[in-house]
Amino acid sequence: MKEVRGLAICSALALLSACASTGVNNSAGRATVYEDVRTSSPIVQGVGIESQDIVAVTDRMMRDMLSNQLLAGRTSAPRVIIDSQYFTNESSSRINKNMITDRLRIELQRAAQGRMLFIGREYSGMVEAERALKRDGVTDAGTIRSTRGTAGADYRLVGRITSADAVDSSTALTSRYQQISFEMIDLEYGTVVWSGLYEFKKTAQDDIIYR
Amino acid sequence: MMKVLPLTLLIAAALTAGGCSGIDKNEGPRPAVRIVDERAPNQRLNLDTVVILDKSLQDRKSGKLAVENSGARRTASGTVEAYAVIRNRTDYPLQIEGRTQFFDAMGIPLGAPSQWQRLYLDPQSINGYRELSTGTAEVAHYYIEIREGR
Repeated sequence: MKEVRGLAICSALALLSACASTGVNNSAGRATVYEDVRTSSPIVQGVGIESQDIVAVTDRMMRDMLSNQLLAGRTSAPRVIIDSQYFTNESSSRINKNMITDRLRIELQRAAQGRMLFIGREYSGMVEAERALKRDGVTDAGTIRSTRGTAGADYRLVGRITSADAVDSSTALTSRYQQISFEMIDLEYGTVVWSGLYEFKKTAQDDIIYR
Repeated sequence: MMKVLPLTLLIAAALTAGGCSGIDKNEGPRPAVRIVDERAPNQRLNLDTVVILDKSLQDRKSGKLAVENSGARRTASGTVEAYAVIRNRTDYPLQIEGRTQFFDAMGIPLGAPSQWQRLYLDPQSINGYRELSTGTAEVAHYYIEIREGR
């Protein structure tokens, strides 16, 4: 009788203790090929510039620029050119530079909300061709204002990607130190009004191919 | 004492029956709820704080990190800079990552949280984490999350 009573109490306690837990199904989610671009891949990771680096560097530079009074604190918003024309890749990493400059420009434009104006100098040929059609009377003037000239820029982003590699020939381990520098140039006076630097070092087997 | 046995048996039977009924009366989508339980005070969102996400880093007694100082200040252009001074309590170098979500005065998140920013902590040393908001006057609160570097 004593054993039965003990068993009953133990069972009740065990069930009660189970009820006291949060009951959250704390298990991993369903497997998928999609990954978070903001975090390094647990499956494929090398020493080159990867998605998380592009997101991190553009996020950092964007926030830094918006906290600069010359760039984002003026009563009349400065006109800025951000493209890859003067942004060079001198590193041993294969990377499409436009991924950095495009993300930086777009994130900056979305966050700036009029504090900075962006000029699409990359597309000036397209704009000039349309303006010529309008002025030659081939097309009408459109529905927005016409101006004597297109917008002149106050500042332009320049920069470069550089790297220093160290390779252990016996193990094929590669250590790559990467620097991505950004500078904003005053297009009238030639001075540097803002600069930012992003650097990182990765060490791994250099067996990942970047395309 | 003899009264304890039927009572415990009754509780056990009720719990077993409840757990094994096979029908979930709450099946289907339900409105999201805010978890409020005094037994777990840290599950709520506390603005203007630094939180450590990884269990291995966060314990008060054995946790690897200590947050020495944190706060926020406004920059010349009107954005807000949130910061935290973090100390490595171990004898080993640590890599951690931090990110910040900024909120307005009503507690509404302003945009996405910042990108994870990697921080290197030498053994027993401190390092500062800083993040800038993109918004200006509307920024009223910050919320810094720290995790182990990935």
